[in-house]
Amino acid sequence: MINIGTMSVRLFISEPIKSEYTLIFEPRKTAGNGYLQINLSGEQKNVKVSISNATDILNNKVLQCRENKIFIEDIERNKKNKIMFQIEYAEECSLEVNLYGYQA
Amino acid sequence: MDIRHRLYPYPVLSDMTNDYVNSSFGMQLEVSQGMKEIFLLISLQLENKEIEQLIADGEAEYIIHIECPYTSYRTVIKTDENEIQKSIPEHKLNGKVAICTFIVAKKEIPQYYNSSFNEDYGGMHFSLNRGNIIGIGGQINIEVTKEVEEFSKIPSIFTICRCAADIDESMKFDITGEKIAITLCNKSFENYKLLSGVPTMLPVLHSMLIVPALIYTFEMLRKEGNGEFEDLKWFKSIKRTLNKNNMALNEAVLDNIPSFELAQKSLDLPVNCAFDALVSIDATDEEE
Repeated sequence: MINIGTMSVRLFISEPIKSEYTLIFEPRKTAGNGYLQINLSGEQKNVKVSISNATDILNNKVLQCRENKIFIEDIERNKKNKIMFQIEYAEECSLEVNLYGYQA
Repeated sequence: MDIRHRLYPYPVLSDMTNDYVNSSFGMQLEVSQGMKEIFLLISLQLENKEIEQLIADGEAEYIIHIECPYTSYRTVIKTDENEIQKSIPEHKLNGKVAICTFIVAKKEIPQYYNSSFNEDYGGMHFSLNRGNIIGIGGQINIEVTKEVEEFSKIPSIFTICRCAADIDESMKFDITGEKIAITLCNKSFENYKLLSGVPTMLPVLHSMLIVPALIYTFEMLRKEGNGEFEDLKWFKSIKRTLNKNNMALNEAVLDNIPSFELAQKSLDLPVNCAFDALVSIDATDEEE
């Protein structure tokens, strides 16, 4: 698995009460299957955050998630992705997102 | 503090993202060096009318964070002006100095919306809390390099010696060598060795040892003239330091400015520094 990078990344909190965030991004490379890894962004280091209820909004598809990973299929270079997910952390926070996939 | 790329849960104006369109926030920095200060002229350039209005209305403000990791100097300037001058005593900086600029919310902004939000946000409104970052103007690092032989550092032109025989316990000075020799009796020399390893005690030691040595030196120069000392290392160093303060080391200066004043000016107000050091040591003791 390699970090395949993301472009035009945008994150916003879409439902604060549910700690629900929306993430928009475009992969830098085509990579088949892979996962997004999401961490709370700390001052000194990042902290793992548990994710639940992830959905691919554009394809109206529920995504598997485990710990701080959201598993996605058909990672395609420059293709816009819009994913909604909830985190188990009540405070509004800034995040760091990395996309991993298999090198094509 | 170094600015790291992270994703905020709301749009942030920054050159690292395109959360806003047709907008920008950046800074320009001019650095100049005075006699004993570093002067910073920071110009903030904001291109977004609605955020400008937030600042004008007192709902947001510019924040300038200045930090020197080596000396632990850190300060924050909060302002609604887009041009800021800041002078920092040179001795508080050494090596890398990071200047970071932000725009932050001064109070809660419950339904924040900006017509320049990227279309991805689809007309969303966001609730901003006090202290939330609205814009990141970037980070500029500067390097402050000290002269290798900074005058106030004891090893440069002073040498502390132990008296060979304890016939007289008073402190002695000798200015005939390349360095100004300060001779202490056995017991004082042991105490000096102990204290010189404590950085916070250095200003106190400067006041106790270097100030009287310099007073003696200026008095000797006044009495005997510069002639035989001009080629010595300590003379050149003192001359250079006084020049930095727009003073020459000549007969006129020695005749018109008292030696104790010259000594203090050369060392950047050592008595005040010593008092500050002692008070800070006392405060630390109390905290413990």
